[in-house]
Amino acid sequence: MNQRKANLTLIVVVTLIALIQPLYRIANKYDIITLGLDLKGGVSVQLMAVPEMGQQLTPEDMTGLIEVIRNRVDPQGQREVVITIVGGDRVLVQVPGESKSDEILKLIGETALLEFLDVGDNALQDGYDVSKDNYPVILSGRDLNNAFPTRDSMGRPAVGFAFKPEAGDKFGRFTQNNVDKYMAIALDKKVISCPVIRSAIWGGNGIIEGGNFTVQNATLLANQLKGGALPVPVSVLESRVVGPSLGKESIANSLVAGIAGFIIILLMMIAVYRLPGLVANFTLSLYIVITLGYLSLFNVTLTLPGIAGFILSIGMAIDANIIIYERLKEELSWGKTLIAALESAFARAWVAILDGNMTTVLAAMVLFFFGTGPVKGFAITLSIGILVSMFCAVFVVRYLLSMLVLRFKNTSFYA
Amino acid sequence: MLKNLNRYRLIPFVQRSVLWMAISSCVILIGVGAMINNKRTIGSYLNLGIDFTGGSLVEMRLAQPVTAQDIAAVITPFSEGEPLVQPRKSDPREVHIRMRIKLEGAKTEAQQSAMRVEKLSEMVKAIEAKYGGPGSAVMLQEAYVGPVVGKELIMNAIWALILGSIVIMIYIFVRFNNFTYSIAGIVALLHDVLIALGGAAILRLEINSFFIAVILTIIGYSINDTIIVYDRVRENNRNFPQLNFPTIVNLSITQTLTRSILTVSTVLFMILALLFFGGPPVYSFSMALLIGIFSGMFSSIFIAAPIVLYFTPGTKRQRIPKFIDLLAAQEQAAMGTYDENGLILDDTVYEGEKEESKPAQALKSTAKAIVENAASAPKPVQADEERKKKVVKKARKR
Repeated sequence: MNQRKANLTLIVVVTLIALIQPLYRIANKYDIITLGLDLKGGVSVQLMAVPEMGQQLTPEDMTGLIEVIRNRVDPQGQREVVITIVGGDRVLVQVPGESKSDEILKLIGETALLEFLDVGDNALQDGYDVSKDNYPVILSGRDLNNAFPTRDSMGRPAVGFAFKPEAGDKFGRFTQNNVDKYMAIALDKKVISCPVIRSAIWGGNGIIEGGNFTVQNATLLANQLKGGALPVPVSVLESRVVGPSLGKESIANSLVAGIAGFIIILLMMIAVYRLPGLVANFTLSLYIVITLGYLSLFNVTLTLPGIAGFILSIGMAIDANIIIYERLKEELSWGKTLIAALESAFARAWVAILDGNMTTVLAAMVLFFFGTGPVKGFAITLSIGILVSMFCAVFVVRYLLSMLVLRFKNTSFYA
Repeated sequence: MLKNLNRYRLIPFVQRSVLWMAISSCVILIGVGAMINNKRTIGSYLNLGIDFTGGSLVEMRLAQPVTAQDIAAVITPFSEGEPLVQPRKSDPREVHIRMRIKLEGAKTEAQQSAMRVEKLSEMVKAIEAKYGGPGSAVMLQEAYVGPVVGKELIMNAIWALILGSIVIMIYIFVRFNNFTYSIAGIVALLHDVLIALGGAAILRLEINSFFIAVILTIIGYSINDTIIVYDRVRENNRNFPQLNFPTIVNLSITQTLTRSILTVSTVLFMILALLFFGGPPVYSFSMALLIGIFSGMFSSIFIAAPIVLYFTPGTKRQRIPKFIDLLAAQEQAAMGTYDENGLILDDTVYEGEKEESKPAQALKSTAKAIVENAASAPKPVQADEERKKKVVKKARKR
């Protein structure tokens, strides 16, 4: 009796723990389970840092990269942008709710290397490629304190900027010494304007004009400049955009699939096992509640493969019941009394349940190790599901069946 | 009211093992044939998605139904090589495009990236212009995967498969302390993976990064039934030392059959539900899983156990009875009353019991006591030794 009470307490405690987080989230109007970008819709970009020849990639570069990307993508800090380092030299940028990858890619991917070049007496054409000539760089985008879209004296769009104090001094000295010579302003090694220096410019403010600015690209450039230059060049490994409609459809579809499969299993269990089938069905429902609760508690991000894994795990969770009941049938057919049959059915079935679930958990662990992104989500969901299903099989089914055995003593209910 | 499950009719799984292996081999060969055919017609053995090949993917819903030819005509100028255009069967307004965007004159990474983005939006505009005007298309999904990712993914998939198999092999070895079981289990698993891959080749399922998940789920789940059969073999081996090994294997498969079928069918129901209601993004995933799990059920019954038998010396020519009375066998085992001739339990021996119900009842009640004590009762050491002797004798006869 004590054993039974302890079991019941355990079941209640585990269930209550599962309910805490979902209730908290419902009260605060969050999603019960954090949804991945493939369900919520959004842009995800994976970048790889490619240091220039002969240079080593340092951890500082990576943290710098993250900072710069954050400044560019989310200057106001209003979007829920998630930027993470993956495997040492990669950065994963996730922008939920964004449906245009081009804007994000432009913000991140383009290097926006702004340079003020000392070109002496050469008046360079707009669009001239300076990557082959080695003009001395006076200052670069790193020396900027601020950049903003503005208009030039003719009312055309332009980008205004302010240097950091020491850079402003340097710029002042340079312009003082090079009056009547040319200075090129190059973006990504291409000249956007090449003005003549009329007089010394002190104060560290100025505007960049020319370069066929429109309001849009002036704003974009200003944002890029303000974010600062990327400390290391990056290359785009992959970019994915999931529109908001696809994610919603996926959720709706998987909900239908899950419910349909669930109902079929409920009916099948009752048809095959009658009374114990009801126990199985109750346990399965509890399994779903507890698993979702723990996914929420551990803040697992639910992806589409994750949902598929969960739906699959419903089919696997019921297996434990089948193993127990089939064994029970067998034990009864060998002429054991109900209680003895139940005891030995549990003892024997437990080994099989452990085996079956352990192999799947092992495979899920391998998957977690080798999988990327959403596939990891599948592995986590499947593993949590399996652990919960083992708990349900060992404690819940056992508790309910031992209660049932006391009430319904006729073996025909069970086999 | 108890059904009499004591008298098992043994389904001859093991005797026909050549037939089962032949069926499996045929299915695998058809799959391999499909792969070769795919290589000829679509350029790769399997229908690899952009996760593996690299390139761009666009999925959108247009205002009107589309045909593959029309879309291909619009996008070919943007594509390097032939684009792949698939209108959805369920909704012909939806189109799935895979291609490599042509990048002319872009040198640096940044320029290429910018140009790719630009070309893609030009292309979408061109498609929109043809079907319902600007802004009419709903972008469902859009992706670009660089060449590095695909190679890594393939390596990851191979490593996952190898490591997964090794882990399972070690697990079986630890549980059963017998390397033959491990080998047979792994053969069964590779069989399932091959059949799933073959199925994917025949149906031209799109292989993407989820596929690693499919393969490992098949591995992790399919081995369950195999282990269940093994576990029962071990248990029966202990309880019925007078039965020969083929009989034990057959008995074990027979005993676990209902359970194997039921446990697999619950999972199959869920996969079928995903297949029918889950929508296009999970179609390939669930289809491959369906094939693999089904194959897993087949292989644990028809492949894994016969292989164990095949590698256990001296068991090939042993006869298998049609029926077994487990209670009588149990009793014999416990009491050590069987002799060489009584080893194979003939159907006719127990025919009489049905008519005389009282003695049968009596037998049952004694047997019940024996069964209940079977776990605690000292195992007849003699029986084991006799069995060993028997195996040796048989070996000598040959």
